[in-house]
Amino acid sequence: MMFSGTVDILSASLDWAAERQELLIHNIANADTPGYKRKDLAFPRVLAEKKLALATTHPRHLPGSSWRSSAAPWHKRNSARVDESNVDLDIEMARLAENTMYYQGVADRLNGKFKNLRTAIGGR
Amino acid sequence: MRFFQAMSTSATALSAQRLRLDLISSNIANAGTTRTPEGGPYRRKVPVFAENLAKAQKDLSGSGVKVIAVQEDPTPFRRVYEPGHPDADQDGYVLYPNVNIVNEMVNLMEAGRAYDANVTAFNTQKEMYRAALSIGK
Repeated sequence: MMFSGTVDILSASLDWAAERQELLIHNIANADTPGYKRKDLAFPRVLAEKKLALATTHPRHLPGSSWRSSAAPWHKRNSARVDESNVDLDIEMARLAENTMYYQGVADRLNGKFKNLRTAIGGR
Repeated sequence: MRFFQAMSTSATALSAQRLRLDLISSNIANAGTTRTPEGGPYRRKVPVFAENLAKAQKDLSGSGVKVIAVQEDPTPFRRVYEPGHPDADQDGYVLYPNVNIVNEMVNLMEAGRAYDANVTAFNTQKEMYRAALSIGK
């Protein structure tokens, strides 16, 4: 097992963060749209389970699923604004910064993993 | 491509906010205009924003914002007593546009901030893209 699952987990995390980024940018774009409700992705708990896949010893056991099928964008219905939009621009910008840092961190780890592999392959 | 879609999402917002800024400028510039081609004083103009949903509805992510209409503010005109004005009625009152400068200035600041926020969003997206491109280097 050359990649030992790490690359899979990291790239799934990157996918998740990229998708979330898109929703956050959409929220910021609609900060002034009356009645708009913000969208977000829940953090994929299943990401961690990806490596520890559930054992299925019975045909009716559930195998567990990837975050793609389980985490749907959620909306928070309440709103404090007169125009019934629930986008708070400051919070949205903070989330955007957080998500970008997360993405860069995961990309950095992925690079580290590849660097290790390169060291192993090159023997240097 | 996900990344490029997010960038165009920011672009739709930038263009919508810019149109809003244009309309605010027009409102301020015409705050004292008593004659228009349609007749009567200038009416304050406001953009109507709506969420631009992605074509495939099951894909819950949208694709930014769009301006669905530019509408005129239906509130009544300001009536000012100014008998010497050429557009005064027989009682000496002139109808001025329903533009409130303070309101317009507040909107101007808000639109400017929203524009800035979307520029930042665009730039973070670019940073992420750069991080993705550097993988494996």
